[in-house]
Amino acid sequence: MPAGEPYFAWIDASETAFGPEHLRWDESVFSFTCEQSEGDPASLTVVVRRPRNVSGDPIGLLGPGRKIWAWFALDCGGGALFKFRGRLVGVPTSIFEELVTLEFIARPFDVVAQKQALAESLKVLPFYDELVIDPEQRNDPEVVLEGYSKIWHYDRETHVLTVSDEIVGEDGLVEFDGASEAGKVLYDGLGLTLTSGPLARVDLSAEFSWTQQAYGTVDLTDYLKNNWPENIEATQGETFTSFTLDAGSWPKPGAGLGDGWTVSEATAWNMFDTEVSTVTEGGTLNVDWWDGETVSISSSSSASSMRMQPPGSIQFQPIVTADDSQVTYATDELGTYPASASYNFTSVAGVLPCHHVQATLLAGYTAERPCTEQVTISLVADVQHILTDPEDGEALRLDGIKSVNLSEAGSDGVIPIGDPRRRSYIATARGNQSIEHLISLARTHLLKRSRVVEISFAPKLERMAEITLRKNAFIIEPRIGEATGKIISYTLALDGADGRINCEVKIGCAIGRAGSQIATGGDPTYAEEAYTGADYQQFTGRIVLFDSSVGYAPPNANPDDDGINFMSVIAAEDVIDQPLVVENTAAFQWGFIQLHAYTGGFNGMITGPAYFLTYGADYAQQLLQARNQAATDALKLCETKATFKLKSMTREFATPYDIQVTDVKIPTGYDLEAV
Amino acid sequence: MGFETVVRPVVFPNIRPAAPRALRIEDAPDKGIAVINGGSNSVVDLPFSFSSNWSKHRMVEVKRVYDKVRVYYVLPDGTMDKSRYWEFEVLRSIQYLENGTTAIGARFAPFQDLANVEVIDTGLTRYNR
Repeated sequence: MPAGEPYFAWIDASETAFGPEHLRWDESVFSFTCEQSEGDPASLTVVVRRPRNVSGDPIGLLGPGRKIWAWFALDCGGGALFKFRGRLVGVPTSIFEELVTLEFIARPFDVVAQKQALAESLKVLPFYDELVIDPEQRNDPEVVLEGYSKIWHYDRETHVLTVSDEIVGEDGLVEFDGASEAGKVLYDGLGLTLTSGPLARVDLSAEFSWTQQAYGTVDLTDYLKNNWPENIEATQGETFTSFTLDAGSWPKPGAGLGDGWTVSEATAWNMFDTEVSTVTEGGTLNVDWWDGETVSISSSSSASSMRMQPPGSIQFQPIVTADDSQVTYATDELGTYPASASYNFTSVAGVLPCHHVQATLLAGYTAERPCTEQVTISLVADVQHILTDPEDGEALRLDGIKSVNLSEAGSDGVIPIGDPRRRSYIATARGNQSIEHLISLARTHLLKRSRVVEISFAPKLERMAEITLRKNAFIIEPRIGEATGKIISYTLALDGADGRINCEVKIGCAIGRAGSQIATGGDPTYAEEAYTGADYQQFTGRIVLFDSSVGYAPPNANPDDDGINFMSVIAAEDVIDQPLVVENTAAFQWGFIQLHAYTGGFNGMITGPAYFLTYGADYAQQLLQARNQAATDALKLCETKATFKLKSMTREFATPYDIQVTDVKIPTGYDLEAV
Repeated sequence: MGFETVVRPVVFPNIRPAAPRALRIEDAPDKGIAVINGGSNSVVDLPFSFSSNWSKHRMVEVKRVYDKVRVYYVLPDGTMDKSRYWEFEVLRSIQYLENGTTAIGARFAPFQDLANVEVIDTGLTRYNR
């Protein structure tokens, strides 16, 4: 077989393996062009003589029963074959001419299924993090490559779909050393272009959101007791004292206590029984004198008192409502004499009891607090500058990266944040994986854009069989020096007009400065690392490698919230937002009522030693009513009101995290600075 | 010339989850205040009363019946000297009027016979008018 001989064989779709039987000439090839660019399937354009049957009549290429698959091979010399398998696409052009152009593509029928299957295998942290992908979009295979510096690759023979890194090919290196005969490239066809400036920096911001969920109770009893102002005259241990607030007005279970707070349990009772009891006494004394005279003396009294008058109560002096005496006289043969006498006295004292309430209060909370961690990362590429001022380098900004609700179970049934009570996601092990995903996103952009130098060259035909888009190529050529780059396209063509075979390969060379990052242990914040291990405690100054090209400092949890840690025991002091304030304490009320209720009298009605004698019983009754009304009116002006505020259980929090990262080390495919 | 137009991974903006609600970072200080108040009170009356009275009943004599007796002097040697004597009224019954209306009375036994006592007259009545 002479080098440069093309073979063309129509085949069935099932003939996926090339064999000697395919080294035939089903069509007379006049010229062809086989090419493939990165990310695309290979294509073949073949110009053949118009097919005819044995009788010389043209054959319809698209007729029923015609084969549409073909093996194409070109003998590159030395037994090497450049092979292509493809299927006919579209209507052949120039179909009525003597030369017909056929177009083939090396794309499998099941490309969608292959992509889908491959995408599933690529859903691996940290390169793919479903938490920042809309659930509706997770089945889109194109989304998977977001965090990879890889691109789809279609094998031109097997049609197997793979992904290939855009910097380092997976299938090895094709060397053109410039010294050996096969390692030389043709003088013509060498070209070097700069596609654009490299991407110098990626500024990325992302938001991770979850609903902090927790429920429980906090005992507020001691806090309220300890902070309730004491009535200086009524200190009776740990009680709540007031002239208005009583056990009946203590909050009841179920009552609201604030944002997300209700009374879970509450008890209250008055310590003193203020029921009034009355003691009545009386008696009669009869005296029969020797002379027949009899004297009968009787008396009775009734005194009411409070069973347990609370300390600190306000006492009102008795108001005399009755004070009268009467003597009746009788007359007999001896004359007129006092036959009887009576005396009545009634007074009404008053007590305004000070309530002493013994109470408990257990507050229940149900937290539903939207939390967000705003992560920013600025990743800088360690690349050669092609501009005189590095500050002119291009920067890319990636905004709008948002997570799903991290406290809701994902497709695998796992809650990303683990415990919804957490105050921080990004500082967890899973959160660190999300950080690494963000780094992979930014790093992918930097790597792809670092492939600034594109070098095209014309190798000898014998090397073309080695060329695939899963390989790198190394070239030494006096005009460009040394270069290593990913093969991004190739073309193999035969011009039927002159019979020349043209080979072209193009590589993309990264212009990084190479090198690698190293991890730093940092300083543990709790104990020596050997004591607890690296995953137990937080560190400062620690650098963890994403890979050898870039590292980052895992952030320590530093939530900008209200400080409640739902994962530990919560004390009242932890949830108090605004402290207890008691307006009109019992001590204040005591003085206020004294001052306002009694002003030398009650409601303008005077009292004094002679008021009863002066104004009589009716006045006394009115005075009694006035006294009580004055006290009631004064109470209304100084009602005890206790207020406090518990930390909101629905409040939203946002915490910024600026992740410290190293530069991204990028391979040196071509040293522009040495040119 | 390629036959496919979209082969590179194209990441569209809509692949991200929906944006959360706009954040309301600051808590409203005047919201969510817990208030404990209410209740009532009033002056509790503590009455005291005292009463006393007395009455006196006086009886006035309105009628008496009596006997008149004479008691003679007895000398130390036991002889009686009838020239010297004392006369007494011995009450046999008495009637009172209490409070001027109710009449009550009492009867008494007659005087005991003695040697030196002589009943002069009996059944004498005197009215107190």
